[in-house]
Amino acid sequence: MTQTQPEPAPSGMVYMWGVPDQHCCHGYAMVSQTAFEMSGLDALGRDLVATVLVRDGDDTARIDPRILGEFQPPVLLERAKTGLQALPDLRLPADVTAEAIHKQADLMKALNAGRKPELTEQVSRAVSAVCQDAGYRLRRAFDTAADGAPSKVDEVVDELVKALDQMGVGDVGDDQAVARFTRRSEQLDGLPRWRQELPETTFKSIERQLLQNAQNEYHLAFVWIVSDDFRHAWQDERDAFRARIDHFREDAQAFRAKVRRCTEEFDRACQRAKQRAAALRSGNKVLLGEVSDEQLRSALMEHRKAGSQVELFEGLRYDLETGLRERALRRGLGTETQQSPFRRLVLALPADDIVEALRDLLLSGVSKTYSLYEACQSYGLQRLVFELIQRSRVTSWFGGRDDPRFGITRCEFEMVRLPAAATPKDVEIKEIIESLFREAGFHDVRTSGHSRSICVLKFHTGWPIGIEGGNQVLLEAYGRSALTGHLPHLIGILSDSQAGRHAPGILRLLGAGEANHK
Amino acid sequence: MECTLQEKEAQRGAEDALPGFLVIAAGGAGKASTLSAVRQHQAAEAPFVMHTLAIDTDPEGLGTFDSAINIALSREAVSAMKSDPQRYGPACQAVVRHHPHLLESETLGRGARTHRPLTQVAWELSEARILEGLRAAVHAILKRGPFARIQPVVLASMGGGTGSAALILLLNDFLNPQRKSHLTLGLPPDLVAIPAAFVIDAYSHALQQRSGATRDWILSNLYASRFELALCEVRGTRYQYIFHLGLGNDAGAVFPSIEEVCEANGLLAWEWMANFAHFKSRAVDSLHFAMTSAHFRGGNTPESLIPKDEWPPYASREGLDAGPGA
Repeated sequence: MTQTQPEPAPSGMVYMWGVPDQHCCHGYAMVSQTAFEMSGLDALGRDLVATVLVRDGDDTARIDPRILGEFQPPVLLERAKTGLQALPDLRLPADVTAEAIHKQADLMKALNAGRKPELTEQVSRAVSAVCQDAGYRLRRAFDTAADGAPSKVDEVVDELVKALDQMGVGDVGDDQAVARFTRRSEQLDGLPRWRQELPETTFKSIERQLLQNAQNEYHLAFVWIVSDDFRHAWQDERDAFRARIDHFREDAQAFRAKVRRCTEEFDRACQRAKQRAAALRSGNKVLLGEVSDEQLRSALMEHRKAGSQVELFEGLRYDLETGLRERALRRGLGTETQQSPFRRLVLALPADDIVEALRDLLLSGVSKTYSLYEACQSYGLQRLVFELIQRSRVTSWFGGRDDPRFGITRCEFEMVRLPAAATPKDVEIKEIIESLFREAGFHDVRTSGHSRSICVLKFHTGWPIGIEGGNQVLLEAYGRSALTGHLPHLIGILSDSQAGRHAPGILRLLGAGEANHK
Repeated sequence: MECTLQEKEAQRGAEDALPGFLVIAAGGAGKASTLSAVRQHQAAEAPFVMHTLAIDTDPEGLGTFDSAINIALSREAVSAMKSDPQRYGPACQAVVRHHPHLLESETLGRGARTHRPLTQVAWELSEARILEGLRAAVHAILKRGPFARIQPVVLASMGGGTGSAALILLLNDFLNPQRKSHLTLGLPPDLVAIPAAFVIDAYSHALQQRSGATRDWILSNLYASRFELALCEVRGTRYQYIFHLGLGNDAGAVFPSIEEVCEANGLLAWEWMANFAHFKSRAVDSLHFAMTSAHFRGGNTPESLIPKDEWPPYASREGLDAGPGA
């Protein structure tokens, strides 16, 4: 069988209708720039984040054990007594008389026998209020301490549990106090019959002594009457606090898990950043070199004029916090997150955001001391300029149809933006780079105060989209997607597209293209 | 009233100065590109006025921008639309009738998922809010200084469901010379310039897909949106400049991921804005002349290779002038 050589395929058609009427407002744009690979980012970043998450504030924020002193039963009981004596029914007049003692003794007996339910209720409420108030303040002090030092919660909890276990309500009051007070009251009642028998001064002295004794017994009787309420209220508060403490143990455990997760996520985000940096080798960036952990730290210490790592971290921590709060605001995390402690903000933000903020922060510091221009020189200036120009070549393909003989007037714009030189040596290197770009035909070379990298921009404009070489392969995908029920079009733009479906007029081009190639 | 010489000079000074830039982030890649531009802007300590406005069918991350229009489809809105489609626009009617599967309640509010007509439905339902959002953004720019011009710059991808649709819907509904008077209500009519766009030809996005079908959907969206843009241009509605960023060049630069393309697209847009005066002065000498007078004159167009009776209406100017449905 004779095999015939296939005829060379003629040049393909333009794969779009109406190209002669299309406007030449399209352009391809491309940018290339220099970059550093920050291999030291993860080690330094992990240290910094660990400082924020774990150690931050733990040394200073500890619960003051004296707060427990206010929860001691005798202290509370004394406070309860003061509170109860403020009740009008129970208040003794400043100038105590035998009648007043007598009246209070009757009241005390009635209370003791449960015949004054309303007053009993008031007494009970007043005693509970004192205990609850102390319990509330104790819990608040603990919350603050736990929030300030979450990694130390267990330690704080252990201290408190031990102290609480050693503390008991003990004997509250004397069960004979009411009987003794009643007896004092009766003695006072019987005193007037001795008035005639005794000298006036002796009588007055005995009366004063009896009144004093009755007053003392009154307080003791009082304590006995509230003892049950007090015991229950104090024990309730202690139990509530113990329950709270157990809850905090769980919280602390959850916090530690969260920190662990956050650190792991941070590591993964660093890995992703590294992979992205490695991928840049094939992208539009020219990597000038790696900045190791050691170089990064020494460059930052020099830039920040920090005398030690601790000083460096303090400064970085402050700037990172500022940067992350701005990011949180942009992410719409709201004012609550803005006001929350830095640690909580770090836990709330995605790890990629933290890595990115950290990268920006470190890069801005490094670029001021780790000279870009010196790195360029080490890389090779001619090689650098050549690679930047190559990588800035546009991503467009026209098969030669962007030519004046086809009616197209192509316009090309190139811009080179260089960062400002920091040292006399930088000035020299920068001048060489500028001249190399000019020699290569890039005349718009300017210094940009804001730039941290050398940036080459290229705009290749003035052609209709219909002549772009990618249209053929896109049309083929368009044809295939018609078989899978896709809806590529907006409704009402193409007259032959039914409700967004493929346009038969465009699908017709597929056959035409094949016929043209045959 | 006659202007004094100083007033005329001041006016000219304002016109020569940089315009206020209204950066519209359309869709997911548009948002990522705009964030890259914002990073540049912040690093450069904001040398010009730039207001960012995000429009998306996926509400995630909208709070990051100066202002945002969330056009995610809600169940309530879709339920109301299904109950009486005749009360809504043509896209709503067509989707309810022909593609009800796109409106399943479980998939709503999570982006357009490469379905461009779904964005059009969301657009029709949110039209009033979009106009208000755009108008508010224009006012926000004016409050930051005297500007003779506001230059809209749209950042989007041309392969997804939202950005590629919004690119054309924005142009047709709000930013073309006939319609933008709604936007500049009570303000100088020519305040808002013809928009520019920085678009990503979504090859990277397509290549990241595992499924061949999804890849084809993205690439076919890219082709369809190119075609629709071209049709809009022929009908007289066009972007001032539309800059494409592809997958890579022939010198070894290949964007490895959609994130990298978005970062480069944002950087390009920002540098273009920062060098706007310089670009413009060179463009009016050469590019604008070419854009208005040049037309492709090659002989290998479909019109010259396919019999005329097989041409679709949009193949000839006569068919186009008759508009859709001719």
